[in-house]
Amino acid sequence: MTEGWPAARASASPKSKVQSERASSEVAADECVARLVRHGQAVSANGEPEDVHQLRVCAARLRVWLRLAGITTLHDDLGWLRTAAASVRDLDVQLEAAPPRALTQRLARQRSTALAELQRCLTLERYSALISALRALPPVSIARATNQLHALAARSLSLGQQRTWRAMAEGPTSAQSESVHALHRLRRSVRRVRYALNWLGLDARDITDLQEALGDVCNGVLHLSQAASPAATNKAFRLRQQQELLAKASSALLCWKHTKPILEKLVHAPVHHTPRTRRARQRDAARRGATTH
Amino acid sequence: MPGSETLLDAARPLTDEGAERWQRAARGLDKLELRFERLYHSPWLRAVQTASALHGLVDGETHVTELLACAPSPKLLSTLKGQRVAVVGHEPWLSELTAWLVTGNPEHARGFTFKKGSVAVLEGTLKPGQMALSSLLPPKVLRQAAKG
Repeated sequence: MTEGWPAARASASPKSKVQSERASSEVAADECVARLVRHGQAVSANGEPEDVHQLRVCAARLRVWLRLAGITTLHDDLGWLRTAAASVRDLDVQLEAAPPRALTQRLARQRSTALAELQRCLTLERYSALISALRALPPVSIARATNQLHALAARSLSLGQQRTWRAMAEGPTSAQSESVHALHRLRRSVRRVRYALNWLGLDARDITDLQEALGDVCNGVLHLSQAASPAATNKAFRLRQQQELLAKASSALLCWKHTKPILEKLVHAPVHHTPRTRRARQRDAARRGATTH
Repeated sequence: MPGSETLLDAARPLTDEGAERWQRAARGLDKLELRFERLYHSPWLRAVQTASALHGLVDGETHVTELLACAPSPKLLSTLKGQRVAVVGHEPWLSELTAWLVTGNPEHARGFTFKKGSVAVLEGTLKPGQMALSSLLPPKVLRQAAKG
């Protein structure tokens, strides 16, 4: 289940028209920070897969918000949290594929260990410092955030070049292959674009479809690598995983062809001049004017 | 639980002028070729903003810690890892930290007062009384270095 995502919005009860206009031209992180805290509490209490997943999603969304705000710190702290949650999440994804019994038991044991480590991270001072820092961050202007969106879309286009898909077509069956790493990078980049669109209250449906199609392929490779392990001796299970992976790769390629023009449109959208860039331009113009006298 | 005054101070941003001056000072640090393995900073907003401007000088991770939003402690020293580490915090605690590392006694902080935007460079072993102050760079000097 994915939580619905609120668009960029005005504050709950603006006192004046000016305040209302200012609030609707800004993107605030506070609701997402509150969700992160809630899911962190739930993970500490019971470690359910959905809470682990949502904790990770909140951390990823906040990393994108930081990019939109032009803040370069706190990324590593959120990354640290995400890495701890990813260890659990990867195992949950594999367990969801209902592998053979011997493999399930092994994965379940690994999950317990990974969950204990995640829960330990949530008790550390670094986590509480991260929450304090996130809570203190002011909203970012829509203009600044939109400029950053262009850069994120450009990155996705550059990662989704033909060579990525050509390598995929050759049939990646190993989680270690370069083509799979390239696909992971593309998926992460597309996810950032999606989250940026969410933050800005823009339509993200096509980008979401692409992200999910890419995610299906990446998950499929992960399942296949487990299916090849000694614990998974069921040949029929391995064959089924291979066939599913090929179907998912074709679907992802079709999705990419549909979404690429949307990304190109995002890259070439008009740049917004923020107050800071406007001041810099005025200073430069004044300097040029002074030198010509 | 921090009092309401502390919470307000924690959320106080750099002023526009302060932010712009610090950006120039950070360029000065770049010109002086100062580089760090890791950067630790307090969670207070102005420390986040200050640390953000230094990101280009850091090869490794940045790490937020509440231990830089209070008086220096042994726990802070055990948290700082690496050979070349940057620390962004607040007065009077940075003066106390410097005094502690150089003289062994944080109460000598009066001899190490930092202007806003100053940078102190310490060398040695990260233990009380075992570091030497190799330079104390006021913001004006850093901004001047940025022009060079």
